[in-house]
Amino acid sequence: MFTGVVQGSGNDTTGAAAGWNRSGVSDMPLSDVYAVASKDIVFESFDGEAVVLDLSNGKYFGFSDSGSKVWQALVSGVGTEALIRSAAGAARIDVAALECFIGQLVEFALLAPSGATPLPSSDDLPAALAAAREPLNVSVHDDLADLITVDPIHEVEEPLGWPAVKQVS
Amino acid sequence: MSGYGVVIPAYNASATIAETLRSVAAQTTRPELVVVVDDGSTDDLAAAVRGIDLPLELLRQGNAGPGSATTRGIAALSTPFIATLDADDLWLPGKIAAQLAHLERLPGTSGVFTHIRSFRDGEPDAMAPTATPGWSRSTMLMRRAAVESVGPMIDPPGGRGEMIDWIARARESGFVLDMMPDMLALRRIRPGSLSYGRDAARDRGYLEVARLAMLRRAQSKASSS
Repeated sequence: MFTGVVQGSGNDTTGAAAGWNRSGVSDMPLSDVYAVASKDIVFESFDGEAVVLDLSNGKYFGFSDSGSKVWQALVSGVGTEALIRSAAGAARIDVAALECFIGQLVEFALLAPSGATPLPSSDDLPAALAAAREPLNVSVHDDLADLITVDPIHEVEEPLGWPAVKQVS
Repeated sequence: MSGYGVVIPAYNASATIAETLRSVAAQTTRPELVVVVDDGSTDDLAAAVRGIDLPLELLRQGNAGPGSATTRGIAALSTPFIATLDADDLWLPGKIAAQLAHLERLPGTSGVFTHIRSFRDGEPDAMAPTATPGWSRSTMLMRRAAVESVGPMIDPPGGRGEMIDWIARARESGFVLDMMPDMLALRRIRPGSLSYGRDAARDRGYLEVARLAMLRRAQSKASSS
């Protein structure tokens, strides 16, 4: 099930991103391990709640409690197999939901398959996932996109020497 | 009555503020008051602003961030319109007149911004190839009632993103903010200025702004259900 929501106005990708079949399961096979897709993807955990921002288009992403934990594990390099094992005791997270969630993160270009060696999950991840109150969920918001993309805090475009202000797509 | 006041937060801006103030003095519509808020500078701002033909008030506070300094300056103004400006940016002479005319034409609009073009410090003719929508302090002109209703500008940890947060809150409050197609302000680009380049602390400011927007949305959802 696709659970991403689109907030705000303006042109935006919707949940019906390419790469999803009718049941909402990604056509893409899972990679063994993932990494942040580009240097434009920045993120922070606020009291355990992950917030992710794509500086290239100004979209930002919020997560459910279980989603925050899985995001943190994935960007820490925890392998997909280890993550699936860690979620085995979590009533709200089955393998299909996990695959779907990872597929969404890839579709949103937040994560990309990595060639790194998959890391084991932390000892406390299974308990943390079992204690989660909400199903896996990521929501995408574009209400700040026009403000963030024109803010002058952007890398200088080397050939021109000007801050690269990216167009809202 | 279409009088306007100007707020300029300034931190170690003595090298640029005189030129900034001269661009205010060159406006075809003269301000009633310009409030420069020294945000804990270690340079001699008072000397730098001396001798410019403007009704000027210089306030000082301990370093608390550009949002805090802007809020302080707004509180010192009683004009019906409030313009804000970074201490290193410049206005073109017709900026305020065009914006005031816009607001007079459109009573339902609470604030109006303009396009902005970057120039390289020390090379006034070295302009960025294009103007961009200036959703920023240096282009903003607002009606006082809306500014007071939106409340203080809040500096996120990391120091930047306060204008994004404040403009987002103004929109969420239902205030209409327009973007004029005209390029009426210039943004100074110089290595080392607050708005140049990118680093992790500034990204964190953005993320905090995004988090606050989601919290407001959750609260608004909870209170309406």
